[in-house]
Amino acid sequence: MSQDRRVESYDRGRIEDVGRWKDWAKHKPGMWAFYLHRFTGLVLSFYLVMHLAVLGTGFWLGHEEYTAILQGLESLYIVRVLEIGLFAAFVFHALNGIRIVMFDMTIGLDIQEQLFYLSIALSFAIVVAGVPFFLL
Amino acid sequence: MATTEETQKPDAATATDEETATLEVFRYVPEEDDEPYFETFEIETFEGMTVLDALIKIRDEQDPSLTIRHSCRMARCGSDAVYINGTQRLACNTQVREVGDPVKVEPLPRFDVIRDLVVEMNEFYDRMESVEPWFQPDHEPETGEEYLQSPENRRNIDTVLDCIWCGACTSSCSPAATDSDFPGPAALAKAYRFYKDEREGEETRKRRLEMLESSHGIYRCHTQFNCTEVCPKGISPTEAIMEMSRDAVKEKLRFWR
Amino acid sequence: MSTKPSKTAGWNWFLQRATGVALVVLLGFHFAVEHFIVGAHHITAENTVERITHGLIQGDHVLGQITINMPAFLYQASAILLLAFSIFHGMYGVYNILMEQDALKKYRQPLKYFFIVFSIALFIQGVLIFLAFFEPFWEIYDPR
Ligand code: FES
Repeated sequence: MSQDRRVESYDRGRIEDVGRWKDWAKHKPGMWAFYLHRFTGLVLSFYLVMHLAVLGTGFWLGHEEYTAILQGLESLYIVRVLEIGLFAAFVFHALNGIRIVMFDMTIGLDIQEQLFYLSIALSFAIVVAGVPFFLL
Repeated sequence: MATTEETQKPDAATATDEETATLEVFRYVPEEDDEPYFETFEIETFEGMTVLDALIKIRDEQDPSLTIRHSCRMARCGSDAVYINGTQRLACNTQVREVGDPVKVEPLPRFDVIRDLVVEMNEFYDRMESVEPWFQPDHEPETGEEYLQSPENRRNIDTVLDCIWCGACTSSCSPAATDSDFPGPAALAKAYRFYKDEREGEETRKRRLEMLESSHGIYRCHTQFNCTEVCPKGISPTEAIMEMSRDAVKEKLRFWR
Repeated sequence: MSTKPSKTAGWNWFLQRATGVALVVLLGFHFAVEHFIVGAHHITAENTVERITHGLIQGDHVLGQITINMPAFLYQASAILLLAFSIFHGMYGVYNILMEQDALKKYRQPLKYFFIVFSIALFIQGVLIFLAFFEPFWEIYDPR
């Protein structure tokens, strides 16, 4: 803070205190929704960049290399498990995103907690139903 | 019959008011300490004792150097917002026996500490000022000497008018913490109070909306609902911000049509 | 506190919401095609060409034998829109997270240009990938 402090004061910091992690157990559902939304958003953005980089082989190297790289990656078990994570991130981000758009239209502001639990429950159900598609 | 006796025992204990509570209080005196620390106090409690009562009792009986800002003691002035057991609350509006034991009292998070539980509020007041929280009518009233407001219009701002500038919501809001250009929930709820006031006229309403629409204005709200959870007066700044951003976007779409 | 009015903030905010809602459908469709119908480990350059050039979605995965022949332009439009929307939504989201940090206040302008350039680069890369599996393009230029 470059604000002029009119009295001497002790700056406990802002960046390291963000979210008051040491009190994480006291966080309310709305805050958890925010954390999860931001985290999944960052995961998806990172994946988008990586995805375009990997698929770029199709243009820059050629079709055989494209097939070889995709099959090579998919043969790794860890990649398939991570894909479930990606799917989970998308499903939660989508459902919670709908929740946020509802708020923007000033719908359901007073049932925000229930909506958050609903989005968690729905994403859990959808991801569990989707697991076989990724592992088989 | 032994069971009834057992169940009656704790009741009897509360009736005689012989309970004690442990208070862990954040201490920092700039002239003496390099770093803040926590000091533990044991006090006797009574039915209906608030955290502020407890702190005053400690100051009176145990450590006269304990500093806390307070005035009305009835949740009216907003000077004693502190961080009690992980939530921003008014000390005078929180029962010692209801928040659990020990009671951990800290100054408002993300505000700079001047001494013990007293924080530097100027930055918060700057945020409040940035939304121009004063009445700016377009023109003089046509008839009579008074600015008349319809009861329906007044009802819109019934809750946001209760704001006591305690700073609890702004302390709980993470975008307000990381972005010093963001006015924060209290200021935006205050802006809503004037935005909704019909006596100000269309011109001022447009201007206010434009001002709030800056890239570090209403759109920085991430609907965390922390402000709504901690407000001691039951105001929902989230709701106010959402309504303003909805209106702002509607206005834009209307131009486009 | 600076309350400098901004012409673009509102529009971007609105676009973030609009692309978000569209992405629920588009990305859901993308997942359905690539993971649920075709299956990620069955993807080859050949069936990617079938999908992008002819709109022919063929798969033999958990759901069994499935063949969907949708209008090619519809599939192509969904692919390009998915590309554009996801880049806007993702990059504007990350950009906003950085804009909110006081620590990065000095770098706001450079960050803005970086994100614009980076998003355009990503979009071009995506279009090139699309063209690599789009047969009419090969008559002009064979990427291999
Ligand atoms: S002392 Fe006035 S609000 Fe608590």
